[in-house]
Amino acid sequence: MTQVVEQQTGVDGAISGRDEVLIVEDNPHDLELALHSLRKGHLTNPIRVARDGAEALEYIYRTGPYAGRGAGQPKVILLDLKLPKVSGLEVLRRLKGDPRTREIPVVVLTSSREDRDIEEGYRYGANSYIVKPVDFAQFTDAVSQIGLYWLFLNEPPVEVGA
Amino acid sequence: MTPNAALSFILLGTAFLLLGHGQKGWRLWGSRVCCALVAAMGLLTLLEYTFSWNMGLDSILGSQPAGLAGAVESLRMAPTVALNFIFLATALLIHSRAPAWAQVLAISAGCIAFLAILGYVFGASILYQVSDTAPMAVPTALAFCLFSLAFLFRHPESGLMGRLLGKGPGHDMALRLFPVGFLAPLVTGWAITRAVDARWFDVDVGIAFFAILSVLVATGAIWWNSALLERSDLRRRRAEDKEEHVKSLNRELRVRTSQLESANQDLESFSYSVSHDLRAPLRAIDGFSRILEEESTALLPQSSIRHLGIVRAEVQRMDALINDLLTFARTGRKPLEKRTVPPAEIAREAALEVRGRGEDRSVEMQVDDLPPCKADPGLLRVVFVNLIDNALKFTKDRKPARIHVGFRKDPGESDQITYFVRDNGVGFDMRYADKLFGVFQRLHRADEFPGTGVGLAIVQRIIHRHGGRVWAESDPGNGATFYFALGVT
Repeated sequence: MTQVVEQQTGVDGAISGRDEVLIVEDNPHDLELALHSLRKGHLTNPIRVARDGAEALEYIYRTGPYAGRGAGQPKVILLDLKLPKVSGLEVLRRLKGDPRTREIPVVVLTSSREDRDIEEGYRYGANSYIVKPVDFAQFTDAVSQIGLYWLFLNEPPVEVGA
Repeated sequence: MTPNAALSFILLGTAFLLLGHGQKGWRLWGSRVCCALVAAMGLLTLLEYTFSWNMGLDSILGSQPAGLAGAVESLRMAPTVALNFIFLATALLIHSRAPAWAQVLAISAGCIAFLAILGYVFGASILYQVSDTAPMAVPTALAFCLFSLAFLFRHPESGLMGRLLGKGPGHDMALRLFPVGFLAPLVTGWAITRAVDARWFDVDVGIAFFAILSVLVATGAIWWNSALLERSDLRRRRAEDKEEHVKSLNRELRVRTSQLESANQDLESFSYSVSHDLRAPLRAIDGFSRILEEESTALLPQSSIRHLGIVRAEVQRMDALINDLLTFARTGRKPLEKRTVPPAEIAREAALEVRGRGEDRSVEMQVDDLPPCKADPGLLRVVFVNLIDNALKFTKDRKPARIHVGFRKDPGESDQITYFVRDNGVGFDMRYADKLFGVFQRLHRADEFPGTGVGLAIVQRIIHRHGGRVWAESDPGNGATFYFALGVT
C-alpha cells in the first residue's frame, strides 16, 4: 500500500500542485533511511512510496487501487532494482517504452554494483544510476543530492505526462 | 591362328580401345561396328560348321599357301574360337547396359580359352579341338585369356569384379584366395602330368597325388585366411573398444561441462546476491546506529557512543570485504583479452594511482625498462596496483621507503619473463609463504597493517589465469620481493 509520508493537501490523493517524488523500495529499513535522509536534506515535497514494481506501475498508470487518483506524474522516480513481483528493470523498461511516461526522470537507486545491472539500467533508459553507499553519511548525502538535483536544478520538459 | 581370327582380334581390340575414350559420338559407333563385324564373322563361321557350307569367308584375306592345298578347313577358325568371338563382341556391345552379363560372357570366353591352354598343358587334345574341326591355337587361346582379363579389369568396381577388387575384408579374402585357387591346381596338375608322362608313377597314383596336393593347398589357404581374418577382426574389435572408450569419455566430459556451467551460474547468482543482499543489512546497521548516535548522544554514556563507533567501523570493514570479494570473483569471470603489452608503462600508471590515494610519504620508486609480454592490460594493471599497494603498506615505517619494479630472464625459460616488485619493508616469515596468496589470509595483525587479505589472492588468480607463476621471497625485517612470470608469446 502507498504510504503517504509527507503531508499532502488536496482531495482523493490528488497532487497538490507541488512536485511529487515516487520512491519504489521494498526494504522498509532502506526506505526509512531514505526518508530520513530526504528530511535531513530539508526536502518538503510530497513523497509517494510503492513497495514493489507492480504497485509502482499501478500508481503511474492509474490502475487498480489508483484508478481514481488525480492527474499529474511524479517529478522524479527513485527506483530500486531488486523488487518483488515486477522487477525494477521491468518497471524501467515499461516506463521508458511508453511515450506517455518516458520523459519522467528515473534514478536507479540500488545496492547492486554489478556491471550487468548498470549496463541494462542505462540500456532501458535510466536517467541516472546510483549505488547506495553503505556508509550512512554518504547515503544521506547521496539521497539529498538526488532530491536537490532532480527537483530543483533539473529542468524537465513542460508538464511531464499529464 | 587363322587370318580371320587375327582380323577379329584386331577389330575387337579396336572396339575395346575406342570405348576407352568414353561412350559418345563416332567412337561409340565405330566400336559398335567393329563388334558387329566380329560377331557376324563368328556367327557365320558357326553356321558354316553347322550346315557344312563354304561361303568363302575363310579366304577373304587370300588363299592358303600352295603347300597346304586341300586343307581348306584348316584356314577356318575353330568353332570354339568363333563362339569366343561372339561372346566377347556381345560383351563389348552390352557392357554399359548389363555389366554383370557382359562379365559373365567374358569369363565364359576366358574359361573356354583357359580350357584349351589346359588341354595343351596336360596333353588332352579334346580340350582344344572339338571332334575333327580345327583346333584352337595356343596364341589364340592366350589372346582370348588376356582379352578377357583386360575386359574384366576395365570396370573392376562393377558387377562380379566388384566382389573381387572392392574394399573390405570379404574383398581382401577373395583377392588372396583367387590366385591360389587359380594357379595351384594348374601347376600341380601340370607337374603330375609330366611325372606320369615320365613314368615316375601311374595315372591312379597321379590322381591321388593331385587330390592330396589339392587338399593340402586348399587347407593351407583356408588356414592362412582364417588367421588373417581373425587378426583383422581383433584389430577391428580393439578399434571399437577404443572408440567406445572415447565415446564414454566424451559423455563424461559433457556431463562435467554442464555441471561446471551450472556451478558457474550458481557462483554468478551467488556473487550477485552478495553484491545486492548482503549490503542492505549493512546499510541499515550503519544508518540506524548513526541515527541513534545523533539523536541520543545526550542520553548515552561515553562508552556506548564508543561501542556505536565500533559497530560502524566494523560495518565499513564488512563492506570493504564484500567489495574485495566481488572484485576477486570478477577477476575470474571476465574473459581474458591477451595482447602484447608494455609492462613498464602499466607499472608506472599503477604506481601513480596507488600513490595518489595514499598519504604523502617519501618513497623512492624505481621502475626499470620492462620487456613486453602477452597479457590482458587491464588485469596486469590490477596486478601492479595490488603489488605496489602492498609494498607501500609494508614500508610505511621506512624512511625512505624503496620500491623497485624490475625483471629478470631465467636461463632455460626463453619464452617467459619474470617481473618483480621489491620493497624494503617489514617482510614476512618465509614459513608462511604458501599462505600469502590465499583469500582473506593475512600474516600481520589488522591493527598493524590494514587490509582485507584479498589483494594478493587477486594477483595470484590473474597470473594463474594467464598461465603464469607467482611467488614471493623475504628476509624478515629487510623487505620482500614478489615475483610473477608471464609468457612472451
